[in-house]
Amino acid sequence: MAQEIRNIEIGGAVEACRRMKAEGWRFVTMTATEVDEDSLDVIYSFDKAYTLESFRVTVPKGQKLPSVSAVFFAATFVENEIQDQFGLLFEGLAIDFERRFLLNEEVRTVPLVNKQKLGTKRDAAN
Amino acid sequence: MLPMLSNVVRNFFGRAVTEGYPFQTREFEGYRGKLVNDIVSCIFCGACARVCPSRCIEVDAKGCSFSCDPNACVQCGICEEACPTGGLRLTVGHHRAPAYSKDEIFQQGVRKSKEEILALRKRKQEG
Amino acid sequence: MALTVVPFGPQHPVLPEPVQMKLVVEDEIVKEAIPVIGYVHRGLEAIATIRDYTQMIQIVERTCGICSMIHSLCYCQGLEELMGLEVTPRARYLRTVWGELHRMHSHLLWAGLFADAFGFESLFMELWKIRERILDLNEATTGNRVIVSVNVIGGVRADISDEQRTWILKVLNEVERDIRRIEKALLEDHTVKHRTVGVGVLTKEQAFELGAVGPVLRASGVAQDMRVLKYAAYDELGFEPIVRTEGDSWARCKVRFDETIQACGLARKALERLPEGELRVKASGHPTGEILTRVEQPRGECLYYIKANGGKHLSRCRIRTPTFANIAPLVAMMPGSELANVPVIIISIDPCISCTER
Repeated sequence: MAQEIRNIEIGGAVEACRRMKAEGWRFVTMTATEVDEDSLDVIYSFDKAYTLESFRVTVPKGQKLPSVSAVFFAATFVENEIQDQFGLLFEGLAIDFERRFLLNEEVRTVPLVNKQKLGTKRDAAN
Repeated sequence: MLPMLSNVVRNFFGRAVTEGYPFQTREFEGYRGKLVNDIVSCIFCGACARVCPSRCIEVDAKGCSFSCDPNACVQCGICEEACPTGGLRLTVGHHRAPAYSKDEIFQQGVRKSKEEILALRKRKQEG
Repeated sequence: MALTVVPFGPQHPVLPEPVQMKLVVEDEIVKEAIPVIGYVHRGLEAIATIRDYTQMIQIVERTCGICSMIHSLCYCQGLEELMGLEVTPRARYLRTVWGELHRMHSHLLWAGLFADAFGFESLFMELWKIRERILDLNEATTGNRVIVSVNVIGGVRADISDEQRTWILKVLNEVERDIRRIEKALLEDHTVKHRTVGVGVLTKEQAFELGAVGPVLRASGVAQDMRVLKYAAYDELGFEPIVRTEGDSWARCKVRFDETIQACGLARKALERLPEGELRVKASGHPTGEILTRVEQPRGECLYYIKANGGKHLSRCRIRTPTFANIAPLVAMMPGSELANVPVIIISIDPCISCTER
């Protein structure tokens, strides 16, 4: 189901979520992806009667995003996961695991940005 | 209580549902077993190494060798489909018993001529 | 009274997979619960950047051992849409058959664990004995019991012959008869009802607002099942979601048993109407673009976001699994319950932690 994902500016995400909640949409998830070296995309997805609607926010790396966990409590866990995987920090999280939701204490790198070196010893030999 | 009691009585007078493994084994056709390569018909094209999802196969085309880490192999069977000569197979009558040691399969083969390679490829296409 | 923090998990005899719930307890009543996960994080989304998109099928299947074929179905579906491929009818029906067999074996596994959670071990063994017959069907048709590895981009790579079809229909009839018999032993039992009715109640508004999915949502009165989206062969088979309104653990159990019987019927219908034809279409070129695609796994709605840029590796493959969405309702169900009921509540949402953490 290839849909149109509309773009929203950074400050408008919380307001858009509030509007979706009032109209009866169910929160599905948030997806973060790396666009290029300097920015990340965060896609918010909602569902109502089997229609999936999403909007996208483009964030420069290093900037903090306001959290929507006050509107949708379910967003707490997704935002913690994005913090771990992309290093994109959120302000105002209901429960903040401080980048230790999925990752261990020893992990210092950020897994999914800037082409982190991944692979096994066998891959390194190839 | 009563449904469970009737179940217990039925089980008591029924036959066993377990099999006496390893003395009794049961094989289904198409079961994906251990990975085995027929080094005589291998043409060292490297197709299996390219498609393997767990990257457990290494093929040296110049040195004509085939090596595989059987503990990393997940027996998915993608390499068997990719092999152009049909020499790489996941065996059927060989149940995947637990391994006693971590060892690697290493097989050294002989370089094939162009005609031999063509004949081997054709043999698989004809079935 | 002073509050105590009791760590439930990560190792607990009742839990199939490690998850920790820090329970803030006052005198045996739970006041608050904080989930701590991360014990089985494997970084599968990071592997998507170093493996080809065809090799990723096998990796995506291993996100979860129980619903593995449905994970690869969602992934292949998304890529087929990005590449503009039309899957043949026979492949769509076969995918439905294996998908419904997976749903049955997943629910039977869950029912066994649920019975084990309050000590009914003999019923646990009995339910898994029924499940073994479905794993035999998997092994005979695809070559492997649990991770069947049967989806490829463009179709499926295993087939069901006509003799196998007759045999599968016979086995499905026997399995359905056994499930109907054993359902009474679990759901009508006095002690089971005492421990599940009214335990872990989730109201309809709470379930919708917290983003619950799957049987947790349907047992609270919201009729949403992603199989209505008509992927694979579900539009031709006719399908209605199963709903209950009580919202407690007993209702979730009943929804899953009813879904198992429904899955039996769907698999039977799909096998009877299996069309002839090719199994797969050839895929050429590489995918480009982005897509969000959803399927219904045994535990709920699973969403895949795939972004590709025309190369051999995907830019992003994001998996939102159903248990991840069900953590928030779980945290909301805990306050007010007794400490001894916590295992029952946790198992009643069907937690698949390896899916949650990938």
